[in-house]
Formats: sequence, C-alpha cells, structure tokens
Amino acid sequence: MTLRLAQVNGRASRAAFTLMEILISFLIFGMTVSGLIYGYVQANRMAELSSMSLAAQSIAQQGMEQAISAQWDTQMYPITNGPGTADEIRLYNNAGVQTNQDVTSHTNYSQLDSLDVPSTGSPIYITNYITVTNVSLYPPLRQIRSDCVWTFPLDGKLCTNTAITQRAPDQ
Amino acid sequence: MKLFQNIQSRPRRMNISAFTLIEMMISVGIYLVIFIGVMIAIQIFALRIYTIAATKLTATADARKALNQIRDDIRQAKTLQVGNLLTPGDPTTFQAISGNNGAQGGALQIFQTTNSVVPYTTYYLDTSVPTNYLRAYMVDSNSAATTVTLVGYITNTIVFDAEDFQGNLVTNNLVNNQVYRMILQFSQWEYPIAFIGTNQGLNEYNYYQLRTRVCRRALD
Repeated sequence: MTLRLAQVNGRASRAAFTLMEILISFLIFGMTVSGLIYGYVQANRMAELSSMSLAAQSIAQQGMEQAISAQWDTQMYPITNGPGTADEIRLYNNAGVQTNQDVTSHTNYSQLDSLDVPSTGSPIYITNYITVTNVSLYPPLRQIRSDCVWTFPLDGKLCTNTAITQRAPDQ
Repeated sequence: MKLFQNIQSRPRRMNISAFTLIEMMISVGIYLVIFIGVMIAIQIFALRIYTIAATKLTATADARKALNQIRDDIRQAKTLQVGNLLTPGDPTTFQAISGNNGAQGGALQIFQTTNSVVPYTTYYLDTSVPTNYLRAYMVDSNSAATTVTLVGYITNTIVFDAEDFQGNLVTNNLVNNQVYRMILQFSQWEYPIAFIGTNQGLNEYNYYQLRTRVCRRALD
C-alpha cells in the first residue's frame, strides 16, 4: 500500500476489482456463512433426533416390560396357556401350531402409540413390534424383543429403537 | 484473487501505484461493518436454535430422571401397593387400593420384602401445593424419614396404576404379575427466554407428558 494523499484526483484512470472478483469473493463469503448456519441447524436437528430416540427407546422398553410381566409358571399342571393362565403368552412353532413346548415356538404382536416428546402439531405415531421366542426348553428361557418403529418428521426416515431381554419363568 | 493468467498482462494496471489510505480505510470499514453484522446475525440465529433445542431437551430431563429412580426402585421391589393419601401432602396417611378395585392412584408404596415394614419408599403426588409436586418419602431401617422432591407442575392426579401384560387395569392383589405404569403430565414453561411462534411463544411446550411401565424383576 502506498500513501498518495495528494494524488487522489488522479485515480480516474485506474482499474479496480473486476466484477468477477467481487462476485467470487461474495460467493466464498456466502459459502462460509452458509456452512456456519448449516452447522447450527444440523446440531439442532441432531438434538431433536436424540430426544425422539430417547422417547422411542422408552416405548420399546415399556413393550418389553409388559411382556416380562406376563405370567409364566412352568410348574403348574396341566399346562395351559393364554391370558389368565399359567403361561399367558401363546407361542406358535414354525409349523404354525400353537405350542409353548417347542424350542422354535415364538409369537409377535404390535402396539400403536405416540412418542412422549414436547412438540406442537400432530403427535409422532409409532408402532411397537414385540416378539417373544423360546430360547431353550431345559432350562426354560425366553427372549423378549421390542422394536419401536417411528418416523423422524424432519426427513421422513424410518428409525427403529430396540430393547431385548431374556427371562426365566416365574419363581 | 486472479482468475486467469492474462489478468496480469492488462496494460492499464501496470502503472497504478495502489489504493489510497482513504480508499483502504473506507473499504476496510465497510467490510468490517458487513462482516461483523453478518457474524452477529449468525450468532443470534445460533442462540435461538440452541434455545429451541434446549427447551425441548430440558423440559423432559428432570422428569426422566425421576422416572429412572422410580423404575429402579420398582424393579428391585418385592411388594408394591398403589393407593392415595388420605391427607394431601402427608405420606404417612397412605392407603392402598383394596379389594377388587382397580389399582390406580396418586401414590405408590414400595417395600423390599413381602412384609410391609421398614425400610420402604412412598412416591406420592403432593396436591397440597399449587404446583403439584411428585415427592419421594423414604423411610430407612431405623424408621428415619426423608422427603425428596422429584419434579413439579404435574396436572394429572392418577400417576400410578397397575396393569396386566395386555394393558388392562388390575388389582393390588399379589397374585397378579403387575406392570406398573406411571404417567406424568406437565403444564410448565421450562425455558421462558425461548420465544417460538406466535404469542411470543408462551404457549409453546407448556404441556407434555412422560410415561413408563415397569415390572418387578422377582416375579412370583
């Protein structure tokens, strides 16, 4: 830079930045700023996804707890199953026959609910798929799996939160 | 920045000295005004975004913490009774739902053994104060009692109920393998500096609920 305080009037013939240079500098500045904004928005999006995922995990956990609470008394005779009996969850083997005494026996059912998240507008609906499977007959052991399927409203993608546990019969 | 090689061969620029001090000061000044303005605008935007996210997350954090504590207690419990307080705010007046009545109420008493003796914990909705607190009344093995406030601004009066595995209301009778459901419905503005939408956002997120279901681990 040169100090030319006395020759200001002589700059009429001098060139300056070209239009292309100005536009490109604005473009770079704009890209930088939009990158910053995108980062903030993305962070907020992740926070929202996190809160919804936490709520979905809670729903999956609830489905699992409900299945655990079903009566399962292997010592009771005669062997019965169905709600209100010694073995409340009915299982079906791979041939589709209802029996709780087959290692392949399993069942699944679903529940509809909504996420517990503070929000305005319509609730976020979920479907909770609960699967109960015999793991072994001796010793008796069952696996309970609960899959909470929900849609992230900002991009419409399907998400699944899963809770899995194994349980022994009632003591 | 030079885009093309031949820019430097422009004859007019060869004999130009530079920008004057005034030109530089003015251009730098304009640039700073624009740059600082944009950066402040971005920061304000970011703060607003942060506040919206914080509102959503903090609104449920305390309540989830309370639910976690109750969940742990229920899992390791042996005897649970759903009931109500005969005197609002006084957990020593707990009365369990009896007979064939569906077990639902504003209090839950948890014992570690099949005997209803100390130590025990009573979680109860304290309706003696306007903000309706959920409190824990913990009595240790020396019968010394401690009361802890878990969360406030609860609007529902039936917080606890006992269900079967299909979600039907059941009794307190221990023959059942109850799964205990807790519902906390809140009317609270947790983060008052967040203004979202119309009416200065004061009606945003002032109602929400949390639910959970927990089953004892030592099933009979």
